[in-house]
Amino acid sequence: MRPTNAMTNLPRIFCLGLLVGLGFLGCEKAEKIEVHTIPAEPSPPESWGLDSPFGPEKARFSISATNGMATVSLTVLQGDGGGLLGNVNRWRGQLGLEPLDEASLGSGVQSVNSLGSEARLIDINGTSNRTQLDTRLVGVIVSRNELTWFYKLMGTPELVEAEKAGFLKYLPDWR
Amino acid sequence: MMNALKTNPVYQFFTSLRLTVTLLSISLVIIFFGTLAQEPMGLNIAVERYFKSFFIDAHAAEAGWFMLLKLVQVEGTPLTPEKIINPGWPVFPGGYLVGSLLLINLVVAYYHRFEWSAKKAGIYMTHVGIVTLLVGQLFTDILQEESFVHMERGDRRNYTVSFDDNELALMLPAGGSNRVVSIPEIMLKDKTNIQHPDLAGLTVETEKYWRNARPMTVSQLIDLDRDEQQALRQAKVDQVFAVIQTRITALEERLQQSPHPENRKALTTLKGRAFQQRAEAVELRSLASLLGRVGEMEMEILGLGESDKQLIFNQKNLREMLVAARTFDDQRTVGELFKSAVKGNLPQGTLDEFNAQADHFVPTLRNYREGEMGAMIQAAEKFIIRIKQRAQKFHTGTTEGRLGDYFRFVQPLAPAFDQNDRNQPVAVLKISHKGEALGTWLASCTSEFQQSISVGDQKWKLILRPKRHYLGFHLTLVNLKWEKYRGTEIPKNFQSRVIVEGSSESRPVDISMNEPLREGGQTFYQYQMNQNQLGATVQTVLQVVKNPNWRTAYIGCLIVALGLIYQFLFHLIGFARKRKKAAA
Repeated sequence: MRPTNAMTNLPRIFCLGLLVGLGFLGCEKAEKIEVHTIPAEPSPPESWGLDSPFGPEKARFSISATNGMATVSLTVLQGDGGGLLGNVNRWRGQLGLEPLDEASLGSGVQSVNSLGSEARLIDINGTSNRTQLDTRLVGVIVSRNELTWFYKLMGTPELVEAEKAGFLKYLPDWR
Repeated sequence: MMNALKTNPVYQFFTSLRLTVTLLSISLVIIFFGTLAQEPMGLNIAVERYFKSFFIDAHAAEAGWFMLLKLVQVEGTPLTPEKIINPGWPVFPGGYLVGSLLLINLVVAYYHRFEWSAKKAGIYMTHVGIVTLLVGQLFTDILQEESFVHMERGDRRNYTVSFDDNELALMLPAGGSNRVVSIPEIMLKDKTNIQHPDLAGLTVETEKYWRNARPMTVSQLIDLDRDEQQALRQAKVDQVFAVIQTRITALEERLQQSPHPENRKALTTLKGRAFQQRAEAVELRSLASLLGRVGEMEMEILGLGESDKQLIFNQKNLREMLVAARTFDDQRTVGELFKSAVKGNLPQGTLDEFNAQADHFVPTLRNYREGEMGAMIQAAEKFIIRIKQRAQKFHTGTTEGRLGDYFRFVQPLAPAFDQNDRNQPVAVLKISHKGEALGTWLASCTSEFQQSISVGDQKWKLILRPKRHYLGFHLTLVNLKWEKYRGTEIPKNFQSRVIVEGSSESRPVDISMNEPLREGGQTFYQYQMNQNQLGATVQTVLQVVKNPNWRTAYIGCLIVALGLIYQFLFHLIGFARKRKKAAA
């Protein structure tokens, strides 16, 4: 096979292209200002103060006001995290309430539309085992992406009442 | 024309094989010293200054030379942090220069010697493949970005974080989104007057910048003084112990010459007591008691009289050491008193307020239990001089922002060079809007707290943090697995299960050590797993590589492989034909 002109010149054109390409080596990336538009990062209600997470908690906030104190926490567990009934009864136990059975569970929990059909809310009053004070607990359990998310607002009943709306509003963004 | 080119000295120089050998030799030298220099300079700086530069500077070369001397056990002068950070004059060709020249040499020689022949086509193709790999690597070097993302179960991220770079982020909420203006740290370091159309009239000016520093509260500033006093006290205590040790050794030697079982037993007990006291936090009273006991043993074993000058508690320098250690104790006490005195008494946190409190401190102390605190007053006077100097040196002078309200001082730290350490920059920023000064803010990489800047109706957020590279999708970590070989602590498998949420679909993906996730032009490799104190695996770290040039390596390898296959088959067929012909 006899080489054509194009075949003879091809390697030379390649060489020339490479040498031009080498010129780009001097073009280091310059550090410059960048602008990004990103989805808004959720921020908690202003009355919540950032606190140190306790045990397996992922995040914790504390709220102090003239009418009492409360804490807000988020815990994420693998799978169903012990199941709805088990966790509802655990929370009830923290306030000294009798456990529910499977049959009465339905009446003890409510759905939360903003968090999807899987989300369940529990709102209970009792006496805290730890402080022996009147306490209210608003808890939300959501199963999502092979994980279960436990959101809990617990504290003085009057303060929990005042914070409940803000708590429920923040939950869809709090991940 | 070709003949004219062939006689051109520059062309001859670049086609020369001597140049190839010389450049390869220089490469060996660069690699050798560049590898050595990684110990004092850290991996990133050494790679930057030896391999990713056209020339090696004098300071980088000094680091390599110092390590070579250390290797042959010759004492050299270690590099100062300033020299490690700041390059010197160029003294030797760097990786980029040698690499570029090698490539030019290879290409020009190829051009010069090329003659079309089917017999050599495979070899030519192989060379083209090698050149493609070489050039591809150089482009990768320039274009590739490496970052990481660390997540705990349930964490959802739409960004990765740079290993080394930091950014000053100014964020403005707009509807359901945030506009993030990312200013590279280098602009803060260079104290550039920063303006940008997206900053809507805001100007950021760096008043002070520290590459690595620690913001401090007033209490922490006083604690810094306490720690220094503690170190000085410890040095004095160590000196006293060294004397005690020497004297005990002398007594032991004497007892070896003239054995005395009872004294031997007492001396052994004393030695044990000295060891025990040294291991614990030493009270000066017990140290003095220990010294007294050593003196008694000396009187007993060496037969010294109470007036004997050799006697341990007659030594003036020892008494001075104890007095000095006592003085440092007083200084610490004064520091704690001053901490209580300033607590809640610095409403504005200015230096003037601090100095006024300091000036007021000694007279207040003097009035307290008058006449009974002579030594303490002296200690307080010295303390106040020191703490005022420190405050002057470390005070930030910020006027706005919650971070600056809390941390009024900044302690500069030595830059971190180790690959596993990260510098924590701190800056004092003067911010103005359309020429009107808004105040000065403290920004620090040590805090994730976002501060506010109010400009009319707009509320900007400000934070200095590790640089974020935003992704066009979200990652949520749902599970992680850390498997070990049975009966050992050796990792067998790290695996992270993530949900990739794009704009239209979401899907679960398992990322393990040899199965990265490729998404949005980036590759996510399983990098590290972290456990909590109870041994539960709680955090995964993924290394993220963005390399727009990643195909070049595959193309280069393919060309090399095709060239080799062609060459092999060409010769094989030729050989087979010859055999066939011979057989016929």
